[in-house]
Amino acid sequence: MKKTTLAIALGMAGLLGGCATTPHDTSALDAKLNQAYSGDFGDFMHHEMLAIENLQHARLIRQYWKDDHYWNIDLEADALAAGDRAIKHRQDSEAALIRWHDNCGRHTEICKRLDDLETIHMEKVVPIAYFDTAKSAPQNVNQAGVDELVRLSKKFPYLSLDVLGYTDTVGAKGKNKGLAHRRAHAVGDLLGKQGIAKTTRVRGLAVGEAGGPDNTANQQNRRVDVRIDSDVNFHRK
Amino acid sequence: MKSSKFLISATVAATLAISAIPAQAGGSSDGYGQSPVGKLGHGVANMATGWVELPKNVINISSDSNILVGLTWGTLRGAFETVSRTVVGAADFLTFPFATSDFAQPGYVTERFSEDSRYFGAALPGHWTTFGPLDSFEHEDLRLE
Repeated sequence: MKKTTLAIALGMAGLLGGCATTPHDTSALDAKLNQAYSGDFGDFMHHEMLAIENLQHARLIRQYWKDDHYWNIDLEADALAAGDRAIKHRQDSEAALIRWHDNCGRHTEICKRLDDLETIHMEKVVPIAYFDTAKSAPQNVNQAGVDELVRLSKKFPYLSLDVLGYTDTVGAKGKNKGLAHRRAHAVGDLLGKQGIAKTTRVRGLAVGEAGGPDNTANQQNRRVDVRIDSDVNFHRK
Repeated sequence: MKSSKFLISATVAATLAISAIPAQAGGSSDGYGQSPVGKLGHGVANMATGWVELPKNVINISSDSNILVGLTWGTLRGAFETVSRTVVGAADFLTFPFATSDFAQPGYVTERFSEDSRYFGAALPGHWTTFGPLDSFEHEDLRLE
């Protein structure tokens, strides 16, 4: 009898021992998970994921509601609450992305690109060349402006540039229109030679006389400007 | 001899019932009453599995209130639901050649487990009002704050 009791006790102890689980050390994995979600971008990922999940949940519940499923449960309150959570996570996600963008110390290249995008999405006119009276070959070129245009054209292949030719008021208006046209084309050729990307659309436009009293020489008006296209959709091609 | 006949009949009925229950992963069995095959399948399945209403009520009411209410009110309600689903299953089985509306909603007891069953569009009083723990989708995970 004692032997039987002992055998049962040993058996039970063996079973319990076999069932006992040793805790796993998850610290290495936890560290990686924390690293993946760390910082502003991690916050953005976290909130974006939750926004999507809550949105899916709200859509699922809306379908149940339409199909008259789960009639015994207050689906409207559940779906509205999920919708509220989706909105809140979307706002938090946007805020985290803005914080990430603003923190330029850590990702200068990204911020530079975004600043460039912001720049080209604003209408921007850069004076590029100045001319002698009645001449269509540039007398003075703004090389820094040309270099900037070349840089932007390589970074944003579908950039669009309008080359605007002007004259002063010396001479006949019709002739000045033709001169402005030739000046614009001269600068267009110059930009091509200086390395503007082939995908960039360069369009020469003759504005003509820039204004001011008639028959007055003005060096500032004998010029060509380049206007960077501000059409956002065009850049998304 | 009698017992072996009963055993064979029970095995055939169980096989029919199990094969009639579709995988719950995707669709719903709404509109089954329009097809004779659907009515026959649902009739057999509901006669064989009507008793699952008992644990369904206990589980969902326990989750909605507490275990005491689940074991008392849930059991009582589940017993009524069991009888109802089995009788409705028999009605679907007997009328299977004729297209009708769905006698039981959801069509199977295991379908949309948190939805309280309705028979001929009516439900027993005292139902639960929250999602239970045994639905196939993950409501709890989606409620993350």
